[in-house]
Amino acid sequence: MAIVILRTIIVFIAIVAAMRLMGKRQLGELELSELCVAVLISNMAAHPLQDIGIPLLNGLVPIAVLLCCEILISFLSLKSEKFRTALFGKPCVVIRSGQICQDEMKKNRFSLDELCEQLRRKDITDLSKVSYAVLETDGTLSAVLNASQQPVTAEDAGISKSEHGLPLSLICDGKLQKNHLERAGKTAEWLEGELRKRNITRTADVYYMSVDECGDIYIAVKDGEK
Amino acid sequence: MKKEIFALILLAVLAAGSAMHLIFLRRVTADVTGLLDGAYRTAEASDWESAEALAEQADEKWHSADAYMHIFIRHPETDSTADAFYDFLGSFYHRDMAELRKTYLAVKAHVANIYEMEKITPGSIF
Repeated sequence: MAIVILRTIIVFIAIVAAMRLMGKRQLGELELSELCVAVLISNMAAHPLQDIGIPLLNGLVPIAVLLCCEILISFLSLKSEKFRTALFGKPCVVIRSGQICQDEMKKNRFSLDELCEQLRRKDITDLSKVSYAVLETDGTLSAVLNASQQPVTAEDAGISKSEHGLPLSLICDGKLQKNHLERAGKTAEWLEGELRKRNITRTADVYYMSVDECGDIYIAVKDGEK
Repeated sequence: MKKEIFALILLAVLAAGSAMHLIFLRRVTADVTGLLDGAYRTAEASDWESAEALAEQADEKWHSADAYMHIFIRHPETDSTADAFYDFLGSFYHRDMAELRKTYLAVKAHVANIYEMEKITPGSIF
């Protein structure tokens, strides 16, 4: 069992180191240690299932060890910036003031095609419109458009808008969400009244109903009830 | 913080568990090997009845830990050790010293392997 624990820790460290050296491109949205845990757990859990000659504990102990490693690594990375940088690296600026940082691109083995692809996913087709682009530690790209290309906000247009807040769902698939109704500060009588105004007699006829902090209501009636 | 403490405790429990596992294995394998040695030496002195009794004691001792072995040790290893015990006990019926020596060495090696396999050494880790 001790060998299983030691082997798991060694393999985990080796995979973290290998993935770290591979760079951000390999990660996708998971953080480094999370990806390693995901890769290892799926493999380790499968072995005792496939081979009944292997005790189940040989599959369960590594999973417990990986879980502990992941929790401790997350804790250490939260507490120590040096540890965080060593393990996850730092975000890299690949476009600065509209200029592509070719050195950073090379360092991260991030090709121009990949840069364009990631920008296209953000609906940016023209590189010249980007002011800053940052390759994050989880491998995703964040982009800031030039000031002239940024969408106009209400503040830019000098329009004052009230805050609508988070809409709360009151009815989901005909079922009343009592806790949301309370949180919205509304009563069952108010709900019934609102439904009656729209010629709906039962909550069961409503597919979805929500209310935001301004009291704006959205209702979708079930298809067969229209 | 609770999660981190839980992780540390879990790791410590696993480490302590594996240390206890090694201690248990060392004790069981040492006891069984002692009985096997005694059985072989007694057989060498031509006291076959006493030797057989000692061999059966070794077999009982081994089988008393059978469930534990199946939980913690790879099943082919425990099964092959059990087979080696049957061969060793079988050789008492023929009272042939050459056959007994062969099966004695085989069962002793199997029992020793169980502990060696679990012992922490660079070889077993890598």
